[in-house]
Parts: sequence; structure tokens; C-alpha cells
Amino acid sequence: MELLDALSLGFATALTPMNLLYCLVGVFIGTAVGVLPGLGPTATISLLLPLTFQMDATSSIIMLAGIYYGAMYGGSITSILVNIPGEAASIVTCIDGHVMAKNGRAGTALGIAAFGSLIAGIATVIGIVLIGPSLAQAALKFASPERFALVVFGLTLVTFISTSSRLRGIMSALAGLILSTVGLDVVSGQQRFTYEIPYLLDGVNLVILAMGLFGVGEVLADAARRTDDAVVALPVPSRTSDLLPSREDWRLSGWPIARGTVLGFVLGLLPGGGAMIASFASYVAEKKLSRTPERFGRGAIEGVAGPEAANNAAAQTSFIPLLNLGIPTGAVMGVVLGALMIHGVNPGPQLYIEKPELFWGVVASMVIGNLMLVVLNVPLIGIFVRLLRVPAGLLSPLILLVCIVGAFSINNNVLDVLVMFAAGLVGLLMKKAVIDPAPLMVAFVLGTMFESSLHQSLAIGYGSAWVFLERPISATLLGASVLVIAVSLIAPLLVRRLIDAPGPN
Amino acid sequence: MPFSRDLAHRVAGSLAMAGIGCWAAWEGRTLGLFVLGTPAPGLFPFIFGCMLLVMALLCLIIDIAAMRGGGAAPAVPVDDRSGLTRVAGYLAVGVGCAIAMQWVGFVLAAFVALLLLMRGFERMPWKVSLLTTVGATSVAYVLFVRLLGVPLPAMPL
Repeated sequence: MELLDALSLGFATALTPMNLLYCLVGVFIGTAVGVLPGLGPTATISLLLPLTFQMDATSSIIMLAGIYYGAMYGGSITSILVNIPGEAASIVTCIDGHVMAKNGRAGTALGIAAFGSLIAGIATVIGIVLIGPSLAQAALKFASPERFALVVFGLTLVTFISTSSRLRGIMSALAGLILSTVGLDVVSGQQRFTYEIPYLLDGVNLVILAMGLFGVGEVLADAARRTDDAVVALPVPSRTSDLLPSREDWRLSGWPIARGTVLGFVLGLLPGGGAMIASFASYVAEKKLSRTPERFGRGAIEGVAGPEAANNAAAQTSFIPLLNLGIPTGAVMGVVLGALMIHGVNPGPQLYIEKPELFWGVVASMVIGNLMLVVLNVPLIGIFVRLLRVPAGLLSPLILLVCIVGAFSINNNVLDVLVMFAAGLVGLLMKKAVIDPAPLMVAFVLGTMFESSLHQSLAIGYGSAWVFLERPISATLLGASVLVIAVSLIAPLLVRRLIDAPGPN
Repeated sequence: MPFSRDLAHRVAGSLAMAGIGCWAAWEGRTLGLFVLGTPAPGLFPFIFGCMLLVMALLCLIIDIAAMRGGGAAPAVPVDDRSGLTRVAGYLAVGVGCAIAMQWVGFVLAAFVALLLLMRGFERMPWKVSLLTTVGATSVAYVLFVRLLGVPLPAMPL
């Protein structure tokens, strides 16, 4: 399919009235979720999955994608005005964004965050259009050995998404891998960890697990540590013109936005990359490249523009490995994979050929969604900030009700609800033990693919493991995995040696 | 002391993970590791279990060293007793609602559960609790049952 035809198909799909409505609903909910600290995009997408059961696959992914990148916008609002990151990818925006707001430049900070995200969003879509078909062509060459090697590469990177230490991230991922083995063995059909309980024969349901770990887990964690501290937000800019950056602001922000977009684009494609790491990487890069690094932390506009562009770009490109290869790069994509499976869509290289309207419709909706976000956010910032005043005592019970209905509606089975609460309790205990549940979630998804692709590969290679090294793509990916492990083992030692080394500084 | 409680949580987490690792490795070994030179159903649970056990023990050593050395771990706010009561309340009411809705229907179970949580555990004012409960239950019923066609249990009347 020619690129222009593909784009026309994408816009024709995304511009239907229903898809426009779903995109609008997605970005609106996403912004609200981004504003509210605690309830992140993973939890929200899990909770809202039941709402998408009656929709077609394209509309539901358009809405869920809108929630994800909408949350990136929303997160920056509270980071700048309240100094509370609405979600993890907006943590670095607090550093300079809130200082800018305190210095009376809240409008400029919000404006550059919104416009930077918009520019990154549109540039990312252009990038996807340019590389998407080549990636899909390359993905067509992926047989079981390449798929297995990619899963191994994903598993080596998955611990990077952990907000706790690497070691605790690895523990979480290993627990997810063990959980993925519950049910019938893919080859022999033998029961594993089922203890003769029929419910466990199909293994643990991905959506139930996500709703429990991230939805119920978040509600319980919030209930455990409720604070009555009033949220103090700095004044919201009253005029639209207050949000427009000056010529000097644009001059300072131009390159950071460009660099942030490229960083986010690349990191979003990698398993374990994602919006949070992209925003941190962009901030560090801008500070290193700046001729006046001392301005960072004191209201440097580059510290807002770069990370905001990076997190939006990463949020959008993370859909590419999922749709092209069926590999989720983070917890959010794991839940979106669940949504695709519920709709009977198997993501992978064939998706681009069999369901081009889904692939290009989602890509085109990202341009529309980003434009909607800028148009929405300018007049509605005040309303979104007021959301912070809704007492948690009202919000938490309502979220719990949505969780119960959502879990029940998947199979109309009360057992699913009980398993969700068990997963919620596990999520709470993991948070208490400073073990991030996100690697568990991604490893759980990758674990199923790991075993099935390994068995298929060994069958192709007549039982020989050489099959992985004889094929260039799988050998490269396995080599990259070894390199990642080696670097992550050596890097801390080198850093420590550098710190301990005596020197004038 | 908040600091020691935080470390205690970390140690408990590592111990729990070590336990899970042991259990998975043991069960994996019972299921069999190889059949005719190819992986048997127990191989991967065994490998993952062993790796988890090693990682958990490493974490445990680091945590204990931090505990002895005065701690490198960051202190986190500690839950008070009311927080723990609230967590227990949310779990009990949530599970209770899921079980009860099979007998009394979704609407009644959700209404009682929301009211219990808002008024009983969150101490919201009666008026706010009642209004929110009625509103949320009605919206949930219309949205899920009427519009989305989710077959939530009906009231047996």
C-alpha cells in the first residue's frame, strides 16, 4: 500500500463521527487522569476496557491511545501548577515547570508543554508513516526464532521500566514470568500450578490482573495513606495569550523539542523504554548540552519543552512494536494488548496487511487527538485543576465500583472479581515492599510468548538451539540482550570507580 | 520509627519473593525438567523460581546491610491504624459486594457497598454520601446494563 493511500485510509477511518467522538472522550479522560495523582494511564485503561467491549477494535484502540497520550498532557498541568506530577512521565516537568509558574510564567510553561507535545506528536506521526511500512516488512521476516529473540531482548530491558531498584525490578519481572506459567502447558497440555481448580486451567486473565494490580492496588494504596493536605495550585492563566510563548521562548525551546522528539521516538520503540525514561533522558541531555546548565532547576524553559516533547513522542511510538510485532514495551501496552485480544485482533506483522484501517486509523487519530488536546486544554485548564479538589473519599469508592463491574463483565463470573481483589492486595503489598508491579505485568505478557516461541523454534531447528544463532536477526537480538546485561552489570562498577577515584574535583 | 518500618516492609517483600521462588522451583522440579532432551512443563517454572530465589536473597542481603548500617533506603510515610482499617474495609466491602450481587442484584449490592465505603470508612457527610451513591449506582446501571448490555445480576423480584 502506498504511503499516501495508507494515510488517506487512516484519516478516513479516524475522521468518522464515532471515531472522532471516541478520540475526544479518550483525550478528555486521559487529561483528567493525568491531572489526578495516583490514578495513572495503566489503571485507567484497565478500568475502561469493559466500556470498549461493544465498540469495534479500531475505535477502542483510538480511545485507549487517546487516554495514554492525553495523560501526558494532563500530567504536565499539575506538575507546573501544583508541583505534583499527575503521572510518572511528568516528574521532571516539576523541576523547572513549577519554578517557572512561581516566577509568574505559568502560562508560558503550560503553553510550551502543550505546543512542544503537539509538535512532537505530529513529528512522531510523520516518523511512523515513514518507518512503519519498513518495520512491518521487516517484521514479516520474523519467524519463531526471531520472535523468541525479541521476547528475550524485551525481557532484558523490562526491568528498566521499574521505578524501584533494578534488582527489585528483576524480582518483579521473574514473579510475572512464574505467573505466566499458570495453566495448561502449551506443548504437553499438562496442568501447572492449577491444583485441580478449573478456573486456573486457562491461566490468569491479563485484564483481570491489570485491573487488580493497577486499579484496585492504587485504590488500596490510597486508602492506606490518606492525607488531608489541601492541594494548593498556583493561579491558572486567565487569557489565552498568556499561554503563548514569546519569540525568545521559542528560540530556547526549538532544539530541545526537536531532540526530545527524536529521543522519545527511539526510546518509545524499545521494550522498557517508554514515556518516563524518555522524559528523564531528555532532561539530562538538555542540561548536559546547555551552555548555562546552572539555569536548570531555576525555571529553564528547555527543562519543560524537551521532556514534554519526549514523553508524548514515546507514548505514541510505543504503539508501533505492539501493533507491528505484538510486543508490549510497557505495562500500558500490555493492557492495550489485552484489549486487542478481547476484540479478536492478533497484533503482529499481518495486522498491517489484514487490518490496515486499524493501524493507520490509530496513527491518524494521534494527529487529531493532539490537536484536540491543545484546543481542549487552553480553555479547560481551570476545570482540570479543580478536579484535584474532589475528595479521595468520594473518588476511591467510585473507582472500586467501576473495577467490580469491569471485572465481572469480562466473563460474567464473580470469581474474576475475587481474583482481581487478590491481585489488588498483591499490588498493595508490592508497593509497600518497594517492588514496582509494572515489570511483573510486562513479563507476564512476554512470558507466554517466550515459552510458545521457544518450543516452536526448537521444532524448526529439530531440537537444536543453534537455530537462534544461525539466523541473523535472532542472533543480533540475542547479542544485543547479552550486551544490555553486560553493560548493566559493568556500568555501576565503572561509575563507582569514577566516584572513588582521587582527583582534583 | 518510619525508617525501620520501611526497611521491614522491604525485607518482608524480599522474603515473600524468596518463598515464591522456592515454591515455583520445587513445583517445577515435581512437574519434570526434561522429556527426551526437550524442555518439560516444569523446566521454566524451575529456572524462573531459582532465579527469583537468588535475586530475593541478594535483595535481602542489601536490605539487611542497609538496616545494620543505619540505612540507605529512603523513609516513606507510615500508614496509621485508620489507614489499615480503611484498606480492610475496602477489601471486605468489595468482595462482599461481588458475592452479594449474585443474590440481591447489582443495584442493591452496589448501593449498599458505596454507602458503606463513603459513610462508614471515609466519613463523608450523609447528604454527600447518599447523593453520590444514588447518582453513581444509577449511572453505572444505565451505562453498563442499558447502554453496553453487560448482563449484571438483576434484583430477584
